[in-house]
Amino acid sequence: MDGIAIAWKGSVGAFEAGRLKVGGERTLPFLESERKGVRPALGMEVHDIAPENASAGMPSADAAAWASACERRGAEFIALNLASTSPDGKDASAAEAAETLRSVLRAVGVPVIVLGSGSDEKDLEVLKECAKAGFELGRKLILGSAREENYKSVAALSMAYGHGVLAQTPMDLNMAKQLNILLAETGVKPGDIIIDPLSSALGYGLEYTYSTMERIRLNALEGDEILQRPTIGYASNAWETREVGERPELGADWEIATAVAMLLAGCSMVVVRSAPAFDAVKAFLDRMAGEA
Amino acid sequence: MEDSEGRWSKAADGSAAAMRMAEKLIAEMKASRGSEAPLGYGTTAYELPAIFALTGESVKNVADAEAFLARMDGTEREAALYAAEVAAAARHALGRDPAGAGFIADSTLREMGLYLVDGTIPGIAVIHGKAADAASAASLTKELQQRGILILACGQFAGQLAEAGVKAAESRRLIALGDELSMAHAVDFAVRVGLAFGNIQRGEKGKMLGYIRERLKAFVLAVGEQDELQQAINAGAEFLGLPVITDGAGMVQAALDAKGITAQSVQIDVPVAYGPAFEGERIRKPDVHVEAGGGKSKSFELVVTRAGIEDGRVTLVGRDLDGFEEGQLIPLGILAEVSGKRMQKDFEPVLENKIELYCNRAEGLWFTGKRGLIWLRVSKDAFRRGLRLAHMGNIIHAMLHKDFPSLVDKVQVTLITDEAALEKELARARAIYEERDVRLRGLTDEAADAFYSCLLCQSFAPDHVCVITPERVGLCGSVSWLDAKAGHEITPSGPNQPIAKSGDDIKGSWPSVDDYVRKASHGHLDRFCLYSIMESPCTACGCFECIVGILPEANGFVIVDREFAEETPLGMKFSTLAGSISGGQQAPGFMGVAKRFMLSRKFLRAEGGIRRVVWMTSRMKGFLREKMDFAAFGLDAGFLDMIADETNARTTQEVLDHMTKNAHPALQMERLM
Repeated sequence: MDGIAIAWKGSVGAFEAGRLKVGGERTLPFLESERKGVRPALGMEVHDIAPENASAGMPSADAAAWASACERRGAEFIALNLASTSPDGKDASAAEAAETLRSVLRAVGVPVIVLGSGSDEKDLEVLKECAKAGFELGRKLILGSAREENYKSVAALSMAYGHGVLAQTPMDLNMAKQLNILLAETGVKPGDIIIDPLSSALGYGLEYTYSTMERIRLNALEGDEILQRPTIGYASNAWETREVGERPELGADWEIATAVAMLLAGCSMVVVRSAPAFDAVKAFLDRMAGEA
Repeated sequence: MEDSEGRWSKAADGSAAAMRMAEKLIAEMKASRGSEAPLGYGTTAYELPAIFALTGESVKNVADAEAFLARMDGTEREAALYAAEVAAAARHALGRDPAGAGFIADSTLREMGLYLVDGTIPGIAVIHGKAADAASAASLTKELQQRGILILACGQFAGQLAEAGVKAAESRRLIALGDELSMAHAVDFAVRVGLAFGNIQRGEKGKMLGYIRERLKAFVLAVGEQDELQQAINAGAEFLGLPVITDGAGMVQAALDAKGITAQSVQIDVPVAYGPAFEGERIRKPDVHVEAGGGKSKSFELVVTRAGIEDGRVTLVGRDLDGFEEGQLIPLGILAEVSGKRMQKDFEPVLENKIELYCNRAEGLWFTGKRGLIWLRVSKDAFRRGLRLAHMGNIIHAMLHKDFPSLVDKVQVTLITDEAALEKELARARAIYEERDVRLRGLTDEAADAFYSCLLCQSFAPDHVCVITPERVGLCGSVSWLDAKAGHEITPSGPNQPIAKSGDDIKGSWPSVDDYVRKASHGHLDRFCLYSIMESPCTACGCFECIVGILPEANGFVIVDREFAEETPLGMKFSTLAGSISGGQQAPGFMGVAKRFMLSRKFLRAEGGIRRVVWMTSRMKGFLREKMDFAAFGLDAGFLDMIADETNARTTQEVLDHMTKNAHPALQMERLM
């Protein structure tokens, strides 16, 4: 016998923005049958101010130059972290954030995920300006993140300017499902939704992230239409762990382990921060795809 | 008041007049600038939006407009809208725009649209006509502004606002568009919301009308006497799905009701801190300013539905907290009256149950108990900071709006400390509690036309599905059919979905339930017999209060509650049993249930009901002794003695001995296996 054929009832829907195309998985990750065509996307994180643990390496203090370096390395998308807008930190204005985004969009051709600082109120201002800026430059962005508390506003931005949306829920299948329904009900095109089930790094709850991602993929394959959306995971969170903070030399490995676990769980888009991690995870993906 | 036929013929005349106006302006444009002269606005991607959206036709220049107008026979109900749109565009091209904001740019629309989608702007009022005077125009506008409504003003009404000194500005959510013909810009705005936000393509008329009717929270206020043109535009607006409200008292409320626009969320007005952090706060005797209820003074809480109430009104009947001595025991009645399109009498207890929590969240307020037995303490500190009874009204008003936005449009609260008034209201409250209890007892599966699912636990038991019926409470014991029903109304996309059903079935098997279960369990389950444990029994997540399991030798079932840690006659402990029936597995002969389900006529109905129970923990016996209506089953409490428990039977043999000694009915029943 050559193998076991499982007749799945569904598949993961596609998400497209510019050159990036993710989703479309018809089976569990890395099976022979999927070697061609479907492959998770690997992106890199860019910060508009130096992150707390900068040992991951900052190619440049300038976000646009940093993003450009990531693109040259092969990043399929950029996750632009606008931490400078945090009201507890530098409190950069939404207009400044939009200017940063514009410079990044001019520097790279790959799609950009826009992430705020985590302050609900401020993020909305920032997302609003950024969504407009992306629209004016004719670029489809991915807005992060719609949560239960703010989804209507983020949905409205997606609808008004045609951007994608990260739907973030705290590692809970039902909540992920509900948020997808709510976003669609508000009017977001289901094809514009990416599920962010909240990422934890290795040693900090990765197993929960893993289970949730795996469950989402299984449900999608089993025919649950609402969950037939690509998922995203931030392996870059590994740099925020205490251990890596104390021993930065562990960072890349920690990030690689986190990223690979997420990919095995069925994650469609993975974000890393450091160059060594990017190269290693890319090599891993090449090997799994039979290309190396 | 004209009859509708009269209005219609006037509207038709107005429509014809609008057509002539459009034709005349286009002819003028043609004469002066030629057929190729462009028509339209540089600030939109949707050409002439109403024509673009509803007909799919492309009108970009004079020739297009001419041909378009020629094709219309004037009988279309929306003809006036197209005509007005063409006329307004021609006028714009000829440089004859009236004073006002005129056509609204796409960029403004997108920005405004955001606030519409996220609810920051709860609705749009398009106003035209002429108010009695400038002052009444201003007061109508203010009434709408206070509710956060975006106002698009046209015609003489817009002029009256200027006269009254009301400033029109986007930031004030007041845009003066221009004259009566500028109503075309309001219509253009409405259809573009559908185009930009509703993902509706050009020419998708049915979809657009549906969108505006169902989703766009906009309405037209037609102020004063309306001429033919105005009536034609009103008819067109109504066709489009914008309700047209004419002059009269309560005009604003009627308009809000017509579109189901609810009041904006209100900040809670209390002088103390408010939040979940204070839920567990205790107020000890020495810190108490006054105390109410607790069985020592008359008290009650009641939520009832009533029409004609005023939202946000808080009334105090009797003395306030400062009218009593410190440390005094006071009487207190809390009456919250609510109304809403989707509010149902059945949800009153669900809302009422929340009052305790809402009050506890205020710092310095402690609340426990339900119905006619509430107990409340106000701390000295909270009193000193200005907390008064009316603040409780504010809390209840704001929180009911916050938690039940889809059910509740208006909330009015009355607080009563006057003995005589309290006495009267308490009597009424008691009658209502009694009525509810009767209704609860009368809720049967047979009478229900829908059951509800509960998928809350799918987060950790992804293939498990709960089907909740009036007589089969969720296995966790905390979600009743009414809770699930209210849950569905509050979050229509949530984990509680209705499952239509009709009639009765002895085993509790319905094709509609099976279809639902199959889908919701991702194909893992095919069938549920809601009233059977032996055939396709309901599954469990893991939160059940009790386990029912078959003891074949005794021809009956054992019931063990989750607090019982010892071995059961089944040879297993609760924990072992739980492991084998959790996670959505169907295990005939075993089932996880809520304690309350045992009181139901549907408990083990296919197998003969409660008479099949041969052993249970003495804790469960105590529960049944207190709660069960034995007579309804043709039994008396003596039946419990026939059932063995851990004090007299630990093994199958001991159970059998106990049954034989007491002539347990299961011995005579049909064999289970």
